[in-house]
Amino acid sequence: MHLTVDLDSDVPIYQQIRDRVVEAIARGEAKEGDPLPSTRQLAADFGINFLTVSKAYDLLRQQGVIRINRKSGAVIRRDPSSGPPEPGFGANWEDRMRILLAEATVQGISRPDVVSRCDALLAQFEAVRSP
Amino acid sequence: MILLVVAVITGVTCFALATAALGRPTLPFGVRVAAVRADDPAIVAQRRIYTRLVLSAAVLAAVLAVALELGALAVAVALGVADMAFYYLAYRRIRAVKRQEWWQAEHRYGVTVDTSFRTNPVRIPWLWLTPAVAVLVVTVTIGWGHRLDTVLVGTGLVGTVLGQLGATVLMPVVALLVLRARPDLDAARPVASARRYRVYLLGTARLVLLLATAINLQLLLRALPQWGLVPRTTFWTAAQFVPLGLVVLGFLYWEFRVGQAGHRLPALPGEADENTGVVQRDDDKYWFLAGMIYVNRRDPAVLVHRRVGVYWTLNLGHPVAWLVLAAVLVTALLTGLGVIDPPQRQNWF
Repeated sequence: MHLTVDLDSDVPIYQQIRDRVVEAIARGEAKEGDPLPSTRQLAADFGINFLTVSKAYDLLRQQGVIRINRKSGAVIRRDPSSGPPEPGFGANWEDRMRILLAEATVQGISRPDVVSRCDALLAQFEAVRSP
Repeated sequence: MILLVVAVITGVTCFALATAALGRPTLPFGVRVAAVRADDPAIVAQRRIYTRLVLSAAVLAAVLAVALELGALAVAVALGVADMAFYYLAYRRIRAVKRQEWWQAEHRYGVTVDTSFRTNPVRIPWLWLTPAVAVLVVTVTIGWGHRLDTVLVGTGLVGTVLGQLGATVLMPVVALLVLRARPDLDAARPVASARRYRVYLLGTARLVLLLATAINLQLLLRALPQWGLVPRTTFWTAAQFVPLGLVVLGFLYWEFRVGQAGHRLPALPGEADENTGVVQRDDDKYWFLAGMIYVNRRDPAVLVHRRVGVYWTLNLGHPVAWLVLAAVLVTALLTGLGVIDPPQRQNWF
């Protein structure tokens, strides 16, 4: 799993790490049961404070993407083949999508354009899953 | 004698030229630049000036050595220091150009991690340690068969075997440290740089383990004349340096073939187009002496790949590095004061 973080971005680094992990799972680079490095190890590899990585892992754990064991460390908890989302996820996700779609509407991106962009992105994720 | 001096001058000059030529294009003379700046006229000019200076120094050293009848060691040290000074000069000039022209402001900076280096790390290639163990066994067998004085430490059986045992244990530890150190990847090309770094790591680990074989062979070949099993001739004296020489040649060949961090390995289809839009983090301010020394208090990594050559270096801003250095210093001090008695070594110079 390749995680690239933009240090000049306005998005906080912990948020970027969380986003990259989710994207990597969607792209099929990691699947359910795959281990993740320890927070200290990942922090050393990024050259950042381990609390930043800790925060990212915490976000991922809260969203049910990973689970953290005292013994085995952080492990990926779900991938596209893990079945339907947990109850409550849909509403939360829709809230965030509403903001993204509102932004697109304000900026004058047309409905067909929005749909075709979504299609293209989803096709990228699905292409990896069903080669 | 002249032949030795010429060989030393050629060796030092080749090393100096190779160090500059085989380093990564994005780290010319230890200065971080983006890939688009790697062929900047300022950098090309500094490379040319450096090559000319190194070659001129080699000629001058040869002339002076013959005229003043200097020893090989003196020539090697003087030429080495001069070449390092030229390298440092090039580093200073490129850094100055980079600052003047604001190259840092041209890009977004990032950092990349390939988690597979942790979850599926490059393992120690244990098979490559077998020759070292074999030499150790052969040494014990020879020594046992000839009922050598086992008490004599140094070049005696016990001393030789202890030395070999030390090398056989130490080299896998070194290999493990190198394999577990932070991978030096390029944020602009995460996939390609990670694939190449894996190849580079495995080859380097194999060579480190072969170094144990070379040391064991050297210890055996050094002991054989002392044990009276072979004549004390120049041939046998010279023979003991052949294994180490071969491993050094192996390292040079490896660096020539794959380059520092594997950057010279050919690209796989599609890899050449890879671009994440960010450039590897610019941490010039933490590197000193043209990319030789790294000091960063805020970096949790202890061991990092050096910007120059196939070397790893301690992050001198890390408390663990201070402990290691303190331990080395105390050992050196105790040895100097005669509290610790190091194994006797034959002096070759």
